[in-house]
Amino acid sequence: MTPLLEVEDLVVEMRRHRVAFRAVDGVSFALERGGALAIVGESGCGKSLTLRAVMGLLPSGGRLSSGRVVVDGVALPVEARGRGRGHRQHRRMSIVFQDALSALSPVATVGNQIAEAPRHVLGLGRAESRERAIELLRLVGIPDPERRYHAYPHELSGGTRQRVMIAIALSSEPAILLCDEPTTALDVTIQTQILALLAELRRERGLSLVFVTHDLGVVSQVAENVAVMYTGRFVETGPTAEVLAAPRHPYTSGLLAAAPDVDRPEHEPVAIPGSLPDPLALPAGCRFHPRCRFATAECLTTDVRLQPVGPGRQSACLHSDVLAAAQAAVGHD
Amino acid sequence: MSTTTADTLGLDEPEREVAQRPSVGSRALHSPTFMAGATLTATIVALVLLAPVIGRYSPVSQDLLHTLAGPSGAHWLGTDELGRDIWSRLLYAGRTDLQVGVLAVLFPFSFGVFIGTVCGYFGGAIDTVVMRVVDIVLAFPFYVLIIALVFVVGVGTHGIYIAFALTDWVIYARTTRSATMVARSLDWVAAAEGGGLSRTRVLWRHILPNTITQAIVYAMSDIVLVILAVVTLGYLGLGIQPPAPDWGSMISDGQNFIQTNQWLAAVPGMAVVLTGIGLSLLGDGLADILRPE
Amino acid sequence: MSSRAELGDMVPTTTGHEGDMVPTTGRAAPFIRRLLTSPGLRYLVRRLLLSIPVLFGVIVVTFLLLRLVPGDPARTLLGLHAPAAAVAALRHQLGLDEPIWRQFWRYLYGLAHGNLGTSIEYQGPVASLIPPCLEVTASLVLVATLFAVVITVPLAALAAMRQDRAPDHAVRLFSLMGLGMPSFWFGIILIVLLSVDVHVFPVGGYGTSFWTHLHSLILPGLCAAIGIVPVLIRSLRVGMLEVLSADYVATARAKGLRPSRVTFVHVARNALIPTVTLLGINIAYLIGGTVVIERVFALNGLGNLMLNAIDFRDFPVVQGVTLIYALGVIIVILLTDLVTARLDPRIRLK
Repeated sequence: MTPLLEVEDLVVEMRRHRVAFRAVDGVSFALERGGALAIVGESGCGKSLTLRAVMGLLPSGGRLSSGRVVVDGVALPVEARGRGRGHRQHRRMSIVFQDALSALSPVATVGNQIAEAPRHVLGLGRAESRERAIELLRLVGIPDPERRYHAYPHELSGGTRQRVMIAIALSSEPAILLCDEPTTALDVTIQTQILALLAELRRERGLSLVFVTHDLGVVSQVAENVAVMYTGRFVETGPTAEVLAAPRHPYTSGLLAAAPDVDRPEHEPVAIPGSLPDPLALPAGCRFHPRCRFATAECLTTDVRLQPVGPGRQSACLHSDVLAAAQAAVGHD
Repeated sequence: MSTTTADTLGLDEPEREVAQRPSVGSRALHSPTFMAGATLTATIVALVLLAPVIGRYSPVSQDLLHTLAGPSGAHWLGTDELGRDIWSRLLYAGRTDLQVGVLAVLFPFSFGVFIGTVCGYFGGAIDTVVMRVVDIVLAFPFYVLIIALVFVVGVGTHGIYIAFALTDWVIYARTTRSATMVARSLDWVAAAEGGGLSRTRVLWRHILPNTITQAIVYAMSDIVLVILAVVTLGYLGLGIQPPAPDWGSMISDGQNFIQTNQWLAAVPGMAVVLTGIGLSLLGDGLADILRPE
Repeated sequence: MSSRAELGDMVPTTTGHEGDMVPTTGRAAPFIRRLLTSPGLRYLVRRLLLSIPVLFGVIVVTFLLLRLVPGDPARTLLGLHAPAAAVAALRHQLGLDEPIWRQFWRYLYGLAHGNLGTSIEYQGPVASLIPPCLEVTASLVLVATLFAVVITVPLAALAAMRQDRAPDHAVRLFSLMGLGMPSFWFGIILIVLLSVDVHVFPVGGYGTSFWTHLHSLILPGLCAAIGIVPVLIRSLRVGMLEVLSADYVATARAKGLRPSRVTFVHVARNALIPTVTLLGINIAYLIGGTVVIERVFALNGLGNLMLNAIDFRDFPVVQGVTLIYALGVIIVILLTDLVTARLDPRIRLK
């Protein structure tokens, strides 16, 4: 079966202080029908831009300099400014943004915003679109949908707004849902509810999901596959359970060590030494080497790319086997 | 080595080495807007300052035998209806207008920034009262108030200074007040206050340097506004009084000859436009340079 | 599927309450009840109340105008060389020989009855001089505002949508040149070009019929508009850039809507808010700019009335006209606030 979504060698340039740099530097992944991929990384690693580039919604100052996006075997036309949405295959993807308040038009009711795609993209009539919008409000778990239809975005709570965003994303009947940190701005309890909603939508509608987050704790709840991103590149990919249990890249294990574990309160979070490099002044060789305790002379000179390190697993580390051995020795769980 | 800190369940807003921002001077030299504005303004200022040297005649000396002459070797821009050399008058008028324009802004700037800072920082009754006064002043159309004040206080430069002193400070007060309120709410200011620094010191050393840049940028466009107002008052006969030359009265005099000698009215106007462009570019350039990243 | 952008789909309703349903019946009683308790009306009342102190302050200021100068106001008006008898007569005529609070009370009382004082020059009520001049000035302001909007909005939109490219630079250059341009000088140039040699527009005056009124107001309106167009373009361009880069525009495009629909229904509708707000901020300056324009184009409006009164040292007229101008500004700003509140649902609930 051809994957539903294939992204090949995506490169996005951004301009800062009149200098251009690669915010996304050769990212590739594939999404199976009904599958889910989580992209994890710190703020600024390029994960949001990746989603926006795939959707053709790059902000001004961004440029899609190369790469292919293939939906269901059909390659989407590449528009240099990364802003094209004309192709009909574009409509098979929808996006959910992080900040629902700024992602919803302040001057229109949420109901009208949800009904807009059915009315003007799917061609339904006015009454039908309204019905569809109310259905979607109910589907995403908003009580009393007929009344909430007439509310304005600023009148709703953060969690409800996020549900509205999801409803809007669903309104164009997509096959793929791209989520850009949809739960970051929410309370933990609401977060859990939203994640449960997404899981349910996957089950019942067969949606495929790409979920971007900086929060490792969320990843295992959301997606079977994960890609760890650093300075615009994937540094490790593979099934979520395996990657989290036995990471094959020092950055991944660094992230895991830095996150407190509720189930193991005795585990002290350990910060990753050093800080994120300036995208205009990236280290030579492996970009992570200044912060890595496994770094050798080779790491300073070799520009490492993703290599297979196991069934379905890849890592961009020259010493991934050293890492694996160290973990086995310590009994890392 | 600094460390990355983690928050509860993930990593957020890590520290990052950022490329150093170039110095103010360097940014200034690389900003085309600023350089263009500075060059143009400097040229105009130099020209008017050198009026006694490069203007070859006194602006008031009449030559009734050579009135309304076109440009020539003797008179680069010709003469007006009283035989006065236009080029010299243009320069001297520029001197007066620019001087009055800049001076008229000094008091509004100082007073406006001061009162705005006080209101923004201390709030309370002073804030309410002053802001009501600001609203009241702003309810009058600018020119209407200026003209009425000049009528009452007297025409000429002294009337101009008083009229602007009474009305022009309001925008400075408002912008400085908002900037101060924003600055006051910043964490590091609270830290400085909590650390035992006296309020005046906090104001002077920490808040003011940040809020004053907005006022300075605004001042550039305000000078343009004031020069325009001075010129307008001159046109209406309510500004700088003859025989002192002024671009506005030159335009109004020239208007009488508009059918035959258009340049009499056109040339002073162009001088105003050029000055406006220079100062606006300078202001825009300053805004670019001083903008916090 | 419809092919035009249907703004009706996205116009906000008047209810602001979460949970209020838009009624589907048209019976009067529930409608009136809704109107009385609506946040919109409450906002209107609140804004009106807030205007009162400003109005009072304006009245006080116009009252104090003459007394700004130290010394005898009557002498200020007549000058240092006027005979003492004339000064005394004027003092009595203006009621300046009474205690100041009495004068203020008379002033207030007079205002409440529509009495703006007596003109020194015409020896008649100032209030009777106002209406014909008000008509001229109000028409001029209207025409000028129209010009300002028609020129600014497309240019600002163009500059914002083609940010940092040729059209943006051209628009910014154009607005830069206008920043320092005296509007009256621009008027003179226009008169030379379009009225003196080529008789497209009248050289001055107001005309006698509705259409000649309009015709005579075109050049002056354009000149008055130039007073604020450059500033308006600069500010609106920024406002539109904010709208264009907003996430909700991305959401709209993500839905797969046609670009024209995104532009007109989402971008334009949201950009309307800063447009109206900016207009409100700048309208006072526009109104003030009409004073000199009226002189250039020989229009008998309030500005001309005021300037003539200054020539004759006719203080009551100056005072009365100043008050009327301020009143006009207060009303216009109130209207702009109300329109903004109508356009922006976020404001109504504050």
